[in-house]
Amino acid sequence: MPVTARSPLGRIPEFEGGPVTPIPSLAGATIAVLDNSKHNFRALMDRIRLSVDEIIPDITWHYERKAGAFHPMADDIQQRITDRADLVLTGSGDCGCTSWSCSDTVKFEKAGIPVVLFVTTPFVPLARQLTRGEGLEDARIIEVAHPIGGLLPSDLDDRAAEITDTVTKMLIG
Amino acid sequence: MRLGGLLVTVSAAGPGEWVELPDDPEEMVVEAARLGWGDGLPFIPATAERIEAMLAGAGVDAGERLPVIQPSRSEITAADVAVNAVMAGCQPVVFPVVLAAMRALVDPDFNLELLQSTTHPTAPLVIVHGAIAERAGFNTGTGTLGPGTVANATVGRAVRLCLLNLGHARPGVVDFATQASPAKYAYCMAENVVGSPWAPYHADAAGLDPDQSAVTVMGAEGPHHVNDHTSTTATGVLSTVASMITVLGSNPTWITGSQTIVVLGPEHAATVAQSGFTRRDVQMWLYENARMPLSTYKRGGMWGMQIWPRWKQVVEDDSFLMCPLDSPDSFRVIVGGGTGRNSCVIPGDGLTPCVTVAID
Repeated sequence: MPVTARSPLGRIPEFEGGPVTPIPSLAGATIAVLDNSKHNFRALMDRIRLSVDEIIPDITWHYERKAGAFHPMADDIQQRITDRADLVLTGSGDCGCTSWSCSDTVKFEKAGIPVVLFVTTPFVPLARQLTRGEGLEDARIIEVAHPIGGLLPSDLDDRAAEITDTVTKMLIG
Repeated sequence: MRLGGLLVTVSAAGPGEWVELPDDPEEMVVEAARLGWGDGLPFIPATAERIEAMLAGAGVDAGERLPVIQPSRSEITAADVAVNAVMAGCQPVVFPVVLAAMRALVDPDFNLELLQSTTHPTAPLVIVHGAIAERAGFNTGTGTLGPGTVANATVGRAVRLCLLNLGHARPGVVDFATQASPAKYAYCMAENVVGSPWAPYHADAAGLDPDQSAVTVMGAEGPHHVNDHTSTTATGVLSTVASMITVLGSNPTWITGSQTIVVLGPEHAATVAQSGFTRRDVQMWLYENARMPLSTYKRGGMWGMQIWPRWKQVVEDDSFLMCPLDSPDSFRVIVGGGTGRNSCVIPGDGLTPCVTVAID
């Protein structure tokens, strides 16, 4: 005889949120890099910057580094970026700290600042789930081959080359 | 239909809904796996009667709300926790421990979202204190962190089932712990007050009445063994303990604000106390002596992305000796286990705090 039992699963709430903020024309704009302190993210962004500077004129770059990837960004970092940036590049989501990079992403998007989030392949589904869960439809995620941390500079060059076209197309629309 | 006073509507296997499971145990496990439930082990089906009995064990209403659980963002109630406690095999007398532990874990300040998803092999360690340990049959002695006692085993498992089922922390989907840890099945112990030369931990650490039942939770690595059969002084025993703390591969070495739990076996605790050491002395001694030169930190681990307080960041002398932890209070000292000159060090994950809360 079957046993009537209650499902132990949690009830995921219905999606409530909206789409990402459109990326404006970036000529003369300020792009903030929010480095969550994971190894090699800043180095990866330095490589991406070279390509972006070639195709978009007069970009001002602003850098912030979180004290650690394991918590949300500090209020003062959020404020400085909000005061300056037309676009935020952040990451890297290459471990469980992806969750807090997602949280940072949604905060800026909800404040009307577009964000490009860099996540390595295994963590992309998690990043999609978390950003959607926090109310962001189709977060702008750049998928990067895993890992980013622990790579030699030459391997990091390859990582950058693999995503540069995708990033620049995303930025120029 | 109405079962045991709860309105039951049998439907598909959606969250919180009532499901018809095969009564054959093997088929039941297969069906649960198909539905995405559980930890892979056999379980007790959460019938209405069992859920009601579980809730009665803590004297709580089924609808009592807890904060949302991460990362599923599910809104959960005491009944949801009770369902998972039933499945874990808990007896109602331990449900106050499960509920208190879950309230602490889903507190928005606990950082459960990161505990659930990190590649670090962290698991929520549950430590039981006070009168409920004896009343509910927890093993405070030999094998307190191991199998063989219903209360320890099922409370640890219930917490894990909540994280899996309510928080949706499925391995490889949300939980990315690289190798994970057997502590993720069940990770619960009870303080050995009888074997301790000091006041109960929850009295010292949280200012609670020694007779108050309480629970401590912290995201932690599995226990690291401390084997010392020969030391006859506090400094001897604690030197061995310190050797398990000065390591490169553990999160507390690199993340400020980390805590590490030192579980002294009663025999080690007695040796330490015979040297006149209080719990505070143990904390101070470990902080002053569990140290590595800066040059050692630079050899690997997370050097270059360490999250250290400012005073550590400005150290330039490679021979300067630094403790991996930030302060004496970062060492949480408790007595646990039974016979044998063994202790263990349980490094925190550095992501979550060590929290002690009273059990209602």
